[in-house]
Amino acid sequence: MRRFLPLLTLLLGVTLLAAEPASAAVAAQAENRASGSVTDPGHRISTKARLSAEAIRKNAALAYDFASDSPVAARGGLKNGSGSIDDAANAARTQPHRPDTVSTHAQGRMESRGISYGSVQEAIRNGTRTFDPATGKAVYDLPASASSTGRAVRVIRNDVTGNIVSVIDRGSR
Amino acid sequence: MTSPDSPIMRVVVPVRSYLEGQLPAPQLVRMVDDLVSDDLLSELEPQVATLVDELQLALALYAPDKVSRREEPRILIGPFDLLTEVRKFDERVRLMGY
Repeated sequence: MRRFLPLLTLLLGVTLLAAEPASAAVAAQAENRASGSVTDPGHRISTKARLSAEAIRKNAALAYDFASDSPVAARGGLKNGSGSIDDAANAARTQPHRPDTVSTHAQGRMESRGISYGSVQEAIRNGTRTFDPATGKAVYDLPASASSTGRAVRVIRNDVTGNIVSVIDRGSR
Repeated sequence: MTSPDSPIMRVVVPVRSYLEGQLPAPQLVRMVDDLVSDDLLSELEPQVATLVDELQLALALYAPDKVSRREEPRILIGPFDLLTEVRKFDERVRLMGY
């Protein structure tokens, strides 16, 4: 048995060396999915496929949406070396993200004033934004001239949580 | 400027009724919403329009129901804060001579 010990050790070493590229491929694939980049299979196996500092900084503002299989804007207070809560809130506004939640209060106001969810989203996308970092409150103003429905809408949204807090009907003129 | 026919009086009258306890808050909210929706702001001087604008924003954040307010406790306001906001509006328009 002792005669075979060096041979067994050698075999074990060879097995481990053969397994490393496979685990590197899994890790690289996970990274590629997280960063949203598409690479050919040859690249996935590459062991130097680590994220650069810049990519890490960029991805810090992103979360991952497993439903749509794409990176989405981070929700929640984010602070890193170069970013701020406002940056995260901006990202939440501009990056593709899950549909906003609508508070009970906002829902009631939308129903009573006949404002659709589409108009609310349009105001968030195209309206002028005023942000209060102390409360996370953002006010989006969409004038009638810029609205697809011809109706001016103001939306109050918690930009940290993505919750629509209230809506205001500003008329058609 | 202090004419009772002045467009701002369409907001000031219900505001004072509310402050006197004669008009319930939800009704004030609806009245101001209707007035703004009917383009009242364009009939007002810019300074006064800004005040009405701020008042409407405060009214839009008024949630009488405690449970609803708990969803956004830092943004939604209750009856006490609403009263403060409406008083502030009234004081400002009084200073402007209305």
